[in-house]
Amino acid sequence: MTSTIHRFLTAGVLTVWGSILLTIYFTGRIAAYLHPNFQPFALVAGCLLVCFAFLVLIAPPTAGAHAGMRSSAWSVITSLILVAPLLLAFANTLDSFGASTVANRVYVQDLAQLPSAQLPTSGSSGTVEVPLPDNGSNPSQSSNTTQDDQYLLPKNKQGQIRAQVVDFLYAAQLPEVRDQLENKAVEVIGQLMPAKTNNPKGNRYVVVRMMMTCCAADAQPVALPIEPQQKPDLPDMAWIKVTGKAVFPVEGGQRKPLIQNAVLEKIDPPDEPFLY
Amino acid sequence: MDGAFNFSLSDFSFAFLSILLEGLPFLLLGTMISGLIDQFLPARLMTRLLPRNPYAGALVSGLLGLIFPMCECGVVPIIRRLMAKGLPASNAITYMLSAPIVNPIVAISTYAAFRGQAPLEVTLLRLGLGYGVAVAVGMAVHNLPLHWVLRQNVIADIAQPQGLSGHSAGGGIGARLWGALHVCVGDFLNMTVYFVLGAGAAALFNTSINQDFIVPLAMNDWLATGSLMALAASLCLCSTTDAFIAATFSMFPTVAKLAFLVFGPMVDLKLIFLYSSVFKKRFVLGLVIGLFVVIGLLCMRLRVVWP
Repeated sequence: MTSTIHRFLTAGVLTVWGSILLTIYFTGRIAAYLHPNFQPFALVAGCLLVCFAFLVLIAPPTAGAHAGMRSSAWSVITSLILVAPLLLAFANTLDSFGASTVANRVYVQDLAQLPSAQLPTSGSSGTVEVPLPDNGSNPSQSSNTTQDDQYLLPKNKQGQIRAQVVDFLYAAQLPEVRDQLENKAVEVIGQLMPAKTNNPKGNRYVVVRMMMTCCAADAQPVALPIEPQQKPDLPDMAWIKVTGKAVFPVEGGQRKPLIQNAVLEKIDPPDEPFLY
Repeated sequence: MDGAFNFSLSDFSFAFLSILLEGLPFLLLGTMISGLIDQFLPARLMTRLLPRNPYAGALVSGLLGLIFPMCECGVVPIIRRLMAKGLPASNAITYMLSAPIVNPIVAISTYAAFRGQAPLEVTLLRLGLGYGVAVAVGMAVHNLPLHWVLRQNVIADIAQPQGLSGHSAGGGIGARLWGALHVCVGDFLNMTVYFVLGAGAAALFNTSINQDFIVPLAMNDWLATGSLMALAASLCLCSTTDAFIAATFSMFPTVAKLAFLVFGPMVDLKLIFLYSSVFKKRFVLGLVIGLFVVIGLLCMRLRVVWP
């Protein structure tokens, strides 16, 4: 009897874990949880767990296989520890972070703090010439990099340069990128948050994108300061499209990006809310 | 939202699930290897292959990650099974601590992450320190009685010459595969209980603690090193990619980043719970404190010669 209960509980636990992994994977929600490099592992693990659940049910009883098995009550308690937090988390997650967690993290506002970024190796104050980034930390590069590595940013229908938050961090360091953005009309999307630092007049906000290295838990907010034309009537972490003029003033001895005269427009979240 | 602690259930759930999704496949891989070891690795083979001298054994075990790379989540069930197959606890602990650092994947990722920040030096020091500390811990453990180190049920497993399931010596390939499945699933469920608890603790820290309170610590070398080690333990990053995070702590001294890279793969919140499934709680506590002090002091010593 104990053996039967144990077998069904084991299969049940494996099924729940496998099903949640596969559900998150096949609904596309996995993009919010894991870096693309890790996503296939979740798929394989989900498939294996479901297979193992089936195999546990049909497996012949093996001598000694349940030697370490404890009482039925203990099996039920263990199964609850394994399943209850998982189901509770699955029921409560919004597949994104809210304002409190983002506010708890240090904003990345400098290329040196950006995971995977190639840092300038010589000179200072953005006058170095270095190879442009060839990694996932620059979301614009896949569609904008030409064969000779020239860094070209696209324009929208209004002729504004469409850039990502990360592009402005590169632009602050790399003259060839800055030339394309400085004093130009630009468009950028992200989530609205209050500026935590460097806000003497109190009129600055930041537009943030979360950048993931391995999984969502390690994601860091990459922040671009903006000065809106009027105080935004939007909640923290609202998805917005920002249009305005890109400038790169030297503040505190460092060249920093800023969008002036910014106009904010509420938008739906993009298909891939995270940067990788 | 400006306090040191701000909790959000939905954010906690999101971070908790992401840590589980990231680590679970590697934990499963570790338990699958564990099941295969139980059924197919002849008892005492490891003892015959490794040097008989326990100190030489620790030196060799510290390099096994170069041939059998394994991340920190997967290595715990493997060493438990290897000990049941006769691998001395000192060698097993050396492999457990070194394999997540001394392996080719970590070497490549560390070098790539620190481009422009003395990548060769950081990579060599990370692997060298990781190896040295792991071997030293292994040698120290050799001088301890087993009942101080291992849980009673693990000692009982070691006392069985055929391993935990007790049926690995005979049977056809089919029977052995069924046996491997039983072992794999059993280990997976045992380890996942601890993994869930550790992931919960990590997610709580990750989403609720205001990290702005940590930044001022970077101004002092001692505090910078200690705080980055504490951060490494709480973030629970995978050792294959943690260098990409460490490289971004631009305001922290390089030795503090090095401490982060060596300490993190050996000790983090989920690992403390996973270790508790194999080792005595008192030993785990001593191991955590000992590693924190030794790695911190070694890195601070490096600060003298490598500012």
